[in-house]
Amino acid sequence: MTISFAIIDGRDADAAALEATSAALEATGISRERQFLVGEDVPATGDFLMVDAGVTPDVDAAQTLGATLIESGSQLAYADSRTPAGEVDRPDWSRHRIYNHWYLGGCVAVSGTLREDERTGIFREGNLYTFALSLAETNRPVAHVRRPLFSEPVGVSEVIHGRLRRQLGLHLARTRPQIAAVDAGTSGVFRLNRHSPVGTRISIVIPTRGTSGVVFGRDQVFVVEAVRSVLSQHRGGDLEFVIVYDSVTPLEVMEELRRLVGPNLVEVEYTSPFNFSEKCNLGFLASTGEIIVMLNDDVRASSPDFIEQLAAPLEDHRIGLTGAFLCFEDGTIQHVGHWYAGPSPRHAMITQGANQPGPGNALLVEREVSGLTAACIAMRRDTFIRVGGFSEALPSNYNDVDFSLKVRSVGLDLLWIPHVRAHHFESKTREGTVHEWERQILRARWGIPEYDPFWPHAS
Amino acid sequence: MNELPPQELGAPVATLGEQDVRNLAIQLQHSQLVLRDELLGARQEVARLRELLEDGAVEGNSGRLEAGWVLAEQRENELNTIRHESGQALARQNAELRANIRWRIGAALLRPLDLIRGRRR
Repeated sequence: MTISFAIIDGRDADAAALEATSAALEATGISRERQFLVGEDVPATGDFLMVDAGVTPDVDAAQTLGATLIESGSQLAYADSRTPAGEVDRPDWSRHRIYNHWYLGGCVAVSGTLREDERTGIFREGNLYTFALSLAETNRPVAHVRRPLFSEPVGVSEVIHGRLRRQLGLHLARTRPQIAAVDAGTSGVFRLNRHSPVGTRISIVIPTRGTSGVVFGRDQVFVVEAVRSVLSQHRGGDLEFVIVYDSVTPLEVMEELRRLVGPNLVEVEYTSPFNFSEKCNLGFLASTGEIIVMLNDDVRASSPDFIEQLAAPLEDHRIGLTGAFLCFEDGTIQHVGHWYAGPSPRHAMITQGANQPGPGNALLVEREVSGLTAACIAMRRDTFIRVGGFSEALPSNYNDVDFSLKVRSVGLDLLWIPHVRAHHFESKTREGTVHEWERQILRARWGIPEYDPFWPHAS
Repeated sequence: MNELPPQELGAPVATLGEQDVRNLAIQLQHSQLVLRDELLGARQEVARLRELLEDGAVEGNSGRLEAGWVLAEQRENELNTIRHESGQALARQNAELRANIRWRIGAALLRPLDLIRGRRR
């Protein structure tokens, strides 16, 4: 076994919790002489387990986590777990999610190759979160064992939450002073406050045919209300609206848009048979912004500084695409990220209640996802060009799935942001009209994924 | 490369007005986007085929394996041909557009205005 000793974080723990953890560690093969408390002098070297008091590792936990460290060449390895409330299926490592969510659990393995300052921080002060953040900052690998290897209490205590907040705050102050972390009302979860991009033109591309419909009991023109909602949430900055309109769009709709937007309106007439991808591509080509937002005309922005907050994370050039929390008219979930596992791509948690934390606090945290709906996404201009825009071979379905996978294929990450919110009035009852040839194009390019690394949950 | 019919090129470039040139530039950029998508997609397909073939090798299905390799190589050759021919065609169109006297005059006139307006080009 490569794990040679264990550090127990027993600060504020009672004797029974300490004894339970110590006995479980002994059963894994780590003798009591090789177990140390945070703050003690640690004469040992090599790979080690870091365990919270009260957590009980399974008999094979040290062996499995240690082997995973070596096989993956990682500096940290974590696993799924069991709690009195049920099994905890953790997502794979995400260098973005860790910035607002401590989700690795109470028993991890750490490689002995860590830096001396990191070793000191963990041994003396239990700063494991600081170490994980440092791994994220420097893109060092972290491994995930996708099966339960220990039992732990539900959630983290207020005391531990306070320690996590302090470590996150210090790390951000040192590495990203423009971002502030505040409590999000749930233990282990933080909200990142970013400044809106200043001096950057943002182009919002909206394909439309000027359709009207009844929403919230009132007949309205979707595209006009989409633009109005963005403007009403806008706090300042340079916005350009690129409207790609079908020739059948009523003249009065375009006149209303001109009145609303003024000189920052770009009009692109679309005369070909319907191809959503081509409309988006033509809209992009007519735009001038450094940041591009693709917005469906049946989306209604509902959170402050909507566009700017959607675009703000793109300052991190590892992020290629951002997306929002979209709800149906009745307030249930329309989009909280795509979920790619099995033959058909799906929306995670679609039609479920939006006022819940979600599995593993998934609805509360900024998190990496496998795909985002094109109904509302933001990206840098160069990202769109780099992947060749939307595939025009997919005029109707799956173009956003393909786009998302293309962005990931060039090494960029996709980020879903819970506090950027909008309604999306897509019909909940719309029949799936996906054709086999559309599935074939998607499968030929991307295959059929067995497992979604960022959505390990069952719905 | 197969010879294109003469009408495919459209009007002589030197006779084009500023708006015509802008429209052609958009068409050109559009073609580049579509081409990029096709290239990226074709690369993915080739990579997928290779993965499937490796799986096939494990199963020892030599006849299908060989046919699969032939197919993968055909796709790779097609991909190289598309890349080569399209790249040449796009480069030629681009050069013709930029050599157009109206484009040069128009760009020279618009650049300072764009700077004042804060637009990128």
